Amino acid sequence: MSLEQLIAKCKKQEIKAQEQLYRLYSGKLFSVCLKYSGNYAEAEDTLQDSFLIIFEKIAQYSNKGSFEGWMKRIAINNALQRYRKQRIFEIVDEEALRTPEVEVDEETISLEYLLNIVQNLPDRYRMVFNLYVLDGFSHKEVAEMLNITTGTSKSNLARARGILKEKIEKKDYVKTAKSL
Amino acid sequence: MREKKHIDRLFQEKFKDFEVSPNKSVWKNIERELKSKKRKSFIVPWWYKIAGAAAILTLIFLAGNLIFTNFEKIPIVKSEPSEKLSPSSDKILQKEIETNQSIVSEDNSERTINREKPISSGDNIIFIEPQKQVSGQAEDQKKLNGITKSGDNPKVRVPNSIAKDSEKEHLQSGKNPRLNEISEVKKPVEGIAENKTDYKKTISTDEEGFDNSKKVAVHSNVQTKTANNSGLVKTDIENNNKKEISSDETIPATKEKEKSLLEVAAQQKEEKILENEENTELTNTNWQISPFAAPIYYGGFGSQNAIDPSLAQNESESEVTMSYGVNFSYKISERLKIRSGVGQVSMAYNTYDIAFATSVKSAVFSNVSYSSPTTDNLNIVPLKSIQSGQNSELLGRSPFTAGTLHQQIGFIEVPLEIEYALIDKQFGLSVIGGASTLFLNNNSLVINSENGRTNIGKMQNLNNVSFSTNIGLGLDYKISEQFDINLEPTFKYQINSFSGNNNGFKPYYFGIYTGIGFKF
Repeated sequence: MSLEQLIAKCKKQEIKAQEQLYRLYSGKLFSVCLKYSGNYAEAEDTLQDSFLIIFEKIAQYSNKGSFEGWMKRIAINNALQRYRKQRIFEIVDEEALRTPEVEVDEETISLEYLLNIVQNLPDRYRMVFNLYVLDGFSHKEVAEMLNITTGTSKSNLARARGILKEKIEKKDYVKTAKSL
Repeated sequence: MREKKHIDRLFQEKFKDFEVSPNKSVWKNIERELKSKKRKSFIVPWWYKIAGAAAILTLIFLAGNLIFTNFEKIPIVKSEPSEKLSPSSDKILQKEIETNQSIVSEDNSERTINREKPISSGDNIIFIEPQKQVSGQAEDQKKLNGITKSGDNPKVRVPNSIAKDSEKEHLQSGKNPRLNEISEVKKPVEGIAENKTDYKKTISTDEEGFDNSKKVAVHSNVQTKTANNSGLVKTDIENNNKKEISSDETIPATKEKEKSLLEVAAQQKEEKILENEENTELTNTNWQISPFAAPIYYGGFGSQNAIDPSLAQNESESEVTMSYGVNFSYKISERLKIRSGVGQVSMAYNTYDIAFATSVKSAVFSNVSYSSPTTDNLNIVPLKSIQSGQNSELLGRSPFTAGTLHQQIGFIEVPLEIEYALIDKQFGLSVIGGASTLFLNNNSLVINSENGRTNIGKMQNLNNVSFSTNIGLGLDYKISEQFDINLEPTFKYQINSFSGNNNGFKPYYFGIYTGIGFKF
């Protein structure tokens, strides 16, 4: 069955087709949810809500553009929904806006660890970091999505990077210390 | 191997093919939700079907009402008089004219006495003159076939002359037997002619309220009878005149027959009066104003919570609140009213067993707009989740307080409804259907706990303007022509109270509206 056929069946609210669609895309969407959520359980909740919205609104998908992109956008929006109303006004530290570089041993640093430190970022930093760095939205878009200013978006991103850099280097440090 | 790397690139490369299979329980939950949604989706079409059926029924009633009221009017005018007056009344008239004029004259004499009561005896002299004129006219009438000319008779024509006419009648036909015995003997034929016209007049005066068509029908009956019987009448006149004085025995039987005709006239007159009353009621009291108050019960279809999905399992309950306002209604037909008005409706909804505490990391409810930065850091979670060990990272280390989330919503309601009366008597019963526009004017969320009341903020997913579809039953009791007491249990289903994410919560409210209606 092609994707179009599957979507058509989902539009008719056929539960078998919905299950198949879920099996095809739950992995990709769950990774999105994990990145944006504070923990695994929250990511599961977000994934569940996202699929329910996808099935409810699938009739609105007009077969134009990437279906995966459409679903991903729903998942991101849904994840953001929980945090959108937090408005953090912070002074932009121009110094912090420089993109830091980290010294890292790529073989020793696992994806699991990176995900963990992303999830442990304060919500407002995590959202901006995910949107800007991992999902390629501009600061303007991020600002609109989170209902904040672009200045706040930039400043939050800088703080996120700072925290991540510190954690990566700390991990490396622990690892080096152990190996000695 | 250590190398310097741009931190963004590090994450981008690592997350490029990131894919994790979720726990199987997630699909189970989704599947359960999808199935329950299908069940819920039955409710909405069911609601629209009921509303649609009610609208169609209302239209049918309205159409039926218009058609039947038209049909009712036609037979009253056309069929009844002909049925009651034609064959049987022919005989009555014939007999009456044939057998005894004195019945008519005696009847008239009774009426004469009644009407003459306010007039002093000296006034009788005045009556004599018109009598002469009238008898002259009666002679003319006789020449020109008497009755056909009756239409030209100034007595009939002159407005407000009914009383005078009847006074003339008495004199013409010798209602005052003591005065007019001689004139009757002298002019027997004239007397009959006069009596014929008198008879006609008795009918026409009785029928003041009749349609002209009815009058014509009666007149023509009289005309034909009198014409046919003129011969008989003439020959019997002298005998009849004698009988008039002597034989009282024939009077009761014939009088009864006459009564039957008069009864018909009286009945029709009554009907006419009733009809007029109804018409005046229709035109005079089309508007009604009714102040009302109602206890309101607020609820929702679906087990979800509108504040946050995490509260779906919490016990929640509506508080009984109040609605008050004023309704106006306009009567568009006998049974149908269109109504509008303005009212304030308040709702309150409690979500029990929540726990809250302040902490650095906040778990924010998806549909709440927090009132201040301090409440941003207020963590509110279901009490059960703490007891079961979840959310320990949020509240585990800080002391929490158990409480109840209290949600208050208020609307200004402007309804537009149609009311169809099923029973419209002293006690009235009607069905009401329509829709309301709701303007949000109160929206707040507080926590009630042992520590007091904490203001949280407001719901951010409530629309400022929303609608409801209404269906209700109206009971009213008329205290007087103008006042009545109403009792209207009404169910209102809110269509779009929530924007976007309402967690599947479909609100409705039910109120028992009571008030006093004033018609004007």
